[in-house]
Amino acid sequence: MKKSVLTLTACLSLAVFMYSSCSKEETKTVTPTTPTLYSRVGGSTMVNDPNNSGQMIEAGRLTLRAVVDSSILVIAGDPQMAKYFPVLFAELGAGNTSGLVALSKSFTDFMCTATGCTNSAYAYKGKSMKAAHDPAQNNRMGVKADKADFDKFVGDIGVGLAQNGVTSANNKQLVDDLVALLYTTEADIVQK
Amino acid sequence: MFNLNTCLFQNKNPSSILLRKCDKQISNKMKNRKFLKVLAWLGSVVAVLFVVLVVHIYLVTRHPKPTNQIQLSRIDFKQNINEVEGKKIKDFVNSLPDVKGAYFNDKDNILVYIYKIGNQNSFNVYNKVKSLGNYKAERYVVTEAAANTGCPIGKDQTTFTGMLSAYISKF
Repeated sequence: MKKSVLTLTACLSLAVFMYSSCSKEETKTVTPTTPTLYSRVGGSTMVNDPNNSGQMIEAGRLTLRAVVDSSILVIAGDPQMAKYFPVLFAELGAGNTSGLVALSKSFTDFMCTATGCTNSAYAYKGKSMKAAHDPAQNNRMGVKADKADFDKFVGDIGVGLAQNGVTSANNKQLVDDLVALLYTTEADIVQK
Repeated sequence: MFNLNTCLFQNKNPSSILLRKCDKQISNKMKNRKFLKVLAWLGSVVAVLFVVLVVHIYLVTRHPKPTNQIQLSRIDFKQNINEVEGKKIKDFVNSLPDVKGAYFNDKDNILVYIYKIGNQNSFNVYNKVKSLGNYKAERYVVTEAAANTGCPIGKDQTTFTGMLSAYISKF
């Protein structure tokens, strides 16, 4: 009996150890020597989520989500980009409005992952950029993107940043780093 | 329960051969019991670790339930709207109930806004904007052909993970 209790205790201790060894609290304590872009826009500090009362969100994700949501509006209002996003407007008639929320979430997840967020809850789990922008591999992609449209897309993100108070005039380094980050995806996205 | 006595009792004339046979049977039974005991413990440990894994996955992947009641709409102005007028229109639309955000592209005279569906709709916003300044404007309506294309990361329902995520997000 005593032996059984000891064995059970050992198993539970092992389970607790395994769980705690990969819990997100531990990842938060790891301080990188060079601050990531994610930490520079707020990092993993938990703050109240203004869009969801009573819920908490990492400050870095909150910043990126605000930029993404602003940028989606800018891109949606850009006639040059309209050919890539008609479905977002079309879903109004169909009564299926999940596209916009999904776009915002996926785009924010992608930005979180790309900027160095370590919280697995915010990890981007979609297709690779190359597959996602290849009409042959993704029937949601109607046309291939060209260089001019990609440049315009990055410019629209810049406008989205400015709407959140970040411009080259007041934070050139951050704007330059985010633009450089976006251009790392150019080879995969521009396929025409 | 199997033991030496019952084994011998079932055999009227126990011989040394029979004794060895019974002894062997008892030994095998004991080995089986030990094996089952180890198997039970192993099963318990695996079960505990599985539960820990499930709890861990739940804790690190739980999200607030996404709201699907947000809609994007657009109004195209058929006249030039300057920056000041554009800001006025944007602020007006932003002040309407259930409108969550708006952007006016004064270069191309396009208004885009996001609203929560239910009490608000694009016809109502369009009529309010028209009445604000008697503008020449049209609601942007997507053709069926254009609706068949779109941003790939917006709605991934074609892959297994996309479908699974959509299913899990319902809970």
